[in-house]
Amino acid sequence: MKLVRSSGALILALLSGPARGASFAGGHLQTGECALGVDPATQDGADAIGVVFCARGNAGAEITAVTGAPKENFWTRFARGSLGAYYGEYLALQGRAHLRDVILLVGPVRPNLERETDLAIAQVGNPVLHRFSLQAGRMPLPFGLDKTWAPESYQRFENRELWASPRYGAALAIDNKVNTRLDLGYAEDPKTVVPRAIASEADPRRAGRLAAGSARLSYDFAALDGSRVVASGYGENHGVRKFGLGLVNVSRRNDTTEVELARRIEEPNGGRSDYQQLLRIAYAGAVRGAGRWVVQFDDERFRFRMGMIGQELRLFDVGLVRIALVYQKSETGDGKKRWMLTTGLGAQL
Amino acid sequence: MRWLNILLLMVSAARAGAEEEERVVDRKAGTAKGEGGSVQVDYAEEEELPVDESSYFKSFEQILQNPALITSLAGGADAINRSVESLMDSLFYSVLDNEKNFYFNDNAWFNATLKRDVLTTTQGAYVIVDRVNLGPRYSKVLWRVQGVPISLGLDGSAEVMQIYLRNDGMRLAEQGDLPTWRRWLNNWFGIVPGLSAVLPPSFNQNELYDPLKQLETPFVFPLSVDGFNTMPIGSIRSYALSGGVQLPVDFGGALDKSSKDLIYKVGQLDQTLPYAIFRRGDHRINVLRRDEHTAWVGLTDSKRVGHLVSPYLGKKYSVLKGALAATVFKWHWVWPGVPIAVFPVELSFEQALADLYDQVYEYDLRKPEAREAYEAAVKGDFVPSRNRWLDSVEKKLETGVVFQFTRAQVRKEELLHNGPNIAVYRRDRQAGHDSAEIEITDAEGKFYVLEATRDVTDKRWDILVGEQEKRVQGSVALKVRKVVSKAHPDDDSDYTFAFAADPDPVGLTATLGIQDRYTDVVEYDQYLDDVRFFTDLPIADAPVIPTKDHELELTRRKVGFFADTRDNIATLHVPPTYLGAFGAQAIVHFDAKTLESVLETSEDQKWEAYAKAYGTDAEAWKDKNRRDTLLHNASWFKAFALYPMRLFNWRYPTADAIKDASDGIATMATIDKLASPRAKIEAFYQLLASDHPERLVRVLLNLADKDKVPRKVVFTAQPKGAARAEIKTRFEQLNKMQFSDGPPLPAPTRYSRAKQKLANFYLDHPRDADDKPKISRVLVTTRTVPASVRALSEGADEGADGEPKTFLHDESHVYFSVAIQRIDPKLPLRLFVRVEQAGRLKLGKLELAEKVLELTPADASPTGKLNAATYDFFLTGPMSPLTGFLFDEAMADGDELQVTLAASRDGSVWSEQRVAEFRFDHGRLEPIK
Repeated sequence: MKLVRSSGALILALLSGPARGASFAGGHLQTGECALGVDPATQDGADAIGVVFCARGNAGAEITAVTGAPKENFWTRFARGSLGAYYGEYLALQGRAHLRDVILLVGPVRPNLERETDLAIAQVGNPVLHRFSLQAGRMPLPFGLDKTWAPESYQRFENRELWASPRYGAALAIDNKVNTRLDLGYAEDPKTVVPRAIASEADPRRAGRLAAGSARLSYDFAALDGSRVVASGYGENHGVRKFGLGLVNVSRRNDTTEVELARRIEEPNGGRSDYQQLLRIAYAGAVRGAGRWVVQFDDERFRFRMGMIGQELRLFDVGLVRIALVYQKSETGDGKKRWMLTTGLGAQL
Repeated sequence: MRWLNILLLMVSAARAGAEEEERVVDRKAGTAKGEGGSVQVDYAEEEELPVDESSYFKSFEQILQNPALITSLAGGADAINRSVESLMDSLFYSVLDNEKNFYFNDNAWFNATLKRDVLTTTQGAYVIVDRVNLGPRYSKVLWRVQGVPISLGLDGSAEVMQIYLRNDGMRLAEQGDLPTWRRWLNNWFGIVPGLSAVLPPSFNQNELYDPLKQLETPFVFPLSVDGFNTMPIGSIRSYALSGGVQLPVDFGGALDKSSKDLIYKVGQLDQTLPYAIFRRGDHRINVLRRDEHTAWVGLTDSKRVGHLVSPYLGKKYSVLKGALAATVFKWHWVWPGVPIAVFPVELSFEQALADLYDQVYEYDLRKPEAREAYEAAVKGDFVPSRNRWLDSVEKKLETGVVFQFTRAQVRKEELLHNGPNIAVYRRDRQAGHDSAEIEITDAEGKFYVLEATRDVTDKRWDILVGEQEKRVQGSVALKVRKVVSKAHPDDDSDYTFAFAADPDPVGLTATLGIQDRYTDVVEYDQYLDDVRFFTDLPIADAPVIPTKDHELELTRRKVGFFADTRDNIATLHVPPTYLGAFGAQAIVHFDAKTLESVLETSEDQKWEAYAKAYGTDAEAWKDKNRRDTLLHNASWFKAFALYPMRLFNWRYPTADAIKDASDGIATMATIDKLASPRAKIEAFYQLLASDHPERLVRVLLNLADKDKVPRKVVFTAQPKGAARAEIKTRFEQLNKMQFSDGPPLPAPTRYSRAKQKLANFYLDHPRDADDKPKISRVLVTTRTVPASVRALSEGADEGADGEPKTFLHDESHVYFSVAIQRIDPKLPLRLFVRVEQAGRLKLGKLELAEKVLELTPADASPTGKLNAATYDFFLTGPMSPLTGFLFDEAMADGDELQVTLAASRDGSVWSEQRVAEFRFDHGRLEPIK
């Protein structure tokens, strides 16, 4: 009976608009913009947390028209979801996954489904509340900013290698609670193993199971309501090195501006200076009224320069409409330039 | 015609609106009461304070000094130009800093330089200095010894400058009188206002506004009275002939090859270590337009002999070089790129003996004798001026010529400039250290002063929030009389000094100035501590502001608790709250008796005072036995070890304490014993030679009876930014607060009056503060367009069908009533209005509109004062004079707005700026909480 009541409350919570929260047996569920009701930094607030779940997600489809190349018009189906379970102020489990499928509107339908579990971790301590916090499980190593608010059809062009890391690891966050935070991470991928015999011919350093370590230092300063500069480094035993530098600014009303530079180098490189590099400048306004503006520019070395400006509209709190204009210029030497118009419809928690 | 209609409509709207019911929120004298409906800001009770006279004097002196020129001749004209100061300079401002060399041969060339410097003032206006410099240069390597080039450098130049005040109101008001082509050119065809709207607040469009004005500089020197009449009131024009000879030696050439290679590998850096012996001379005429008919003409002659060392390690990179190119007929142009200066080590140190001579005359140009004397004086002939002044004194004729003073100085100068500059961040110290024998002749006669000064300015600059400046000046003046040797009464050079018969023959005055246009709470607390330390005043009534906004912290904690590992990189710590512009001026004065009592204190007391001022162990330092221990003397190692950090402009008071205390206490003992004024001033010069001048002042305060030391501090505070209104109001309470203790500061002496007059040549206050208009009240309400208004005007705002646009009469719009004093209500008034959103794109600011309105009063003399009136206008809606696409869209969205206002009678002298903030959302007006 308890279970039925809890399920009923959950459904009501999902459908009842802005309240977005429901209590059930032994816990409390929030969806969308989750927020605690009391200050968790106080003893009373920490005691009141209890068991709380936070569910977020969105799903939908986008259609993209490409100027001058109707054969390249495509549509994108996507779903993203995350669930966090928090027990008091110290313990949490977090999971996040996404699906994305890109299908050409003209021509044969080819499977192009991307399905990924981004996160499945246990967390001890909370980075917002505590000086030390530890996360372990399936997770990306702390590196760079890796933030985008662009439509899914724009994100499909992202070069994920710039942020990718072995799947299973742990990260320790050390925060002075004033302005500085250091993230240290280590991860391994048991499935990616290069036998020593093969590796030794090309490069002995590439032998064995893929393992990586990273460090990310962020420093906050007061300029323009609050800005953060982030420097990161990453190294793999298989010869990949990455460096990142970023700047984030968040206004008092949550307008966010970011600048990120990420570079990936594979060693040994035989004296060649080729590397992958991304310069990203992005802005996501806070939701005002029904919508917000999103602007992004990406310059990926020897691949493309592209930018987008879009509007994201919220309908009845759960509907999501996206309209974006995208410009892409190829930097591979073929001189291709194209404009794209993306419109999307979806729902979100 | 359209404007006339709008003005008439405004007047009628004001009358109609008077009948509407209003709810008023009062924000008087820093107390905010929240109630929706309207916002009122009342400034009536504020007291006007005199502006600081000497604040910009040194800045101009520093502009005129040019140590870089001396060493650049070491390597010929291609020597690296280190004048690129910041990334903003590189990206934008350097457009108006141009240098071109025309070569005669490998060793001789003609140099032409155009340069613009912009200085800030406490009143919010900017001082613009446009300079043109033309002249030949010669440089030849005479010998090379062990790879070290020894060169000969010669230069001569003619320099013309114009110096004028500019603020945003002046800039916009001036545009109303300009032809369209000039208006577009002044604004770089809209590029500069566009950049200003989106770039960080450190971007200043006055740096680039009106490039033609710079080009006209050589042609506008007022050689005639007619030329003088074209000068803006308060502006200065100046020309100089100068020249010099240098013998530079670049010891950087002696560096071994492997070290050079290593430096080159690290970012392809350049290095030099030039040393030069030099002799320079400068003859300068300055003209200041004091008011409508009054001119001040000054003559400055200087001769300097000295030496200079100026090493650097770094490079000027040209980013995006060649990204743009053009070919016009056979002429090929390639964009040289953006110069980015990266100098981890940059230093120059100059020592010189200087002979300086200043002379100032005043002319009332309504008098023919004064006009004649003026025209001779600006050409360098001051004889007619002297004769006309003697006529006025001896024959009581009204010639209109007034002799102000002459000042002759023999000065020993030291000038240090050092600090790393890494394009987006710069930390810079300029330190002057002089001692001088000064002879002043004023209307009362001749008198002498021996003076030792120390002037240390520390500046920090970063690309986001611009510059912060902290300046400490210490000056010891001895009032003396000249005693000519009895053995050689005809020999002018054989003389000495004795103390003048004055009850207070010695004085030490120290000042601390802080200016920061973008202050957060951590800096605010630090500045208050600096002032407390300097003056030993408790400053207990200064507003206490929490470092962080607790409400924002709470919100961030509640939401950030759920951030997952990918999101929490954008979950920032709540930063210290940004408050706005902050300024402080503190002064401490020690008279002769106090100084005597300080010098007479025991050695133990002096060590204790030093220890307390430098933050070391006072108990240990005041005990002679403990001072003799190895442990105490081991402190010298710290001082030695950290000394090289000065190369990077890092100085540590606790490390330098032992050196400063040992030197200072020995010098104090010497001063106490010396009787001759010359020897005494030399000893005071040594005493001031500290890298921590504010700590030396505190040492003296620690040793003195504080009740006998006049101390005073005045603050300025202008709240800005997006902090909550309650925090801003608290910060604003600091504005014009004064704290003082001890006896009153001594009255200005003849010498300080003369210095003040000289400082007038540096545009400290173009008009007296009393003369400026003053905004005494701003009332923001909502109004509807009066029913009588059916359309705006003929031909304006027509719809697609050619019919005038219609508008809804029941929509509410923001309506401003501004009460202004010290104006003539019969004449139109110019009101500068700038509307800003707090800024969605937070790396920049978002300026929605900026305009100077010409208004007639809605209500003359609202407060019963004859020279006051109220001016009304619609800020939003169809009757707004600011209407435009971006502005109207933003208003339709509803947002928090910040409106800046300034008033002027003539477009050149403006009131202090006032800021009103409110939230306007779909017809609802609310104060910002």
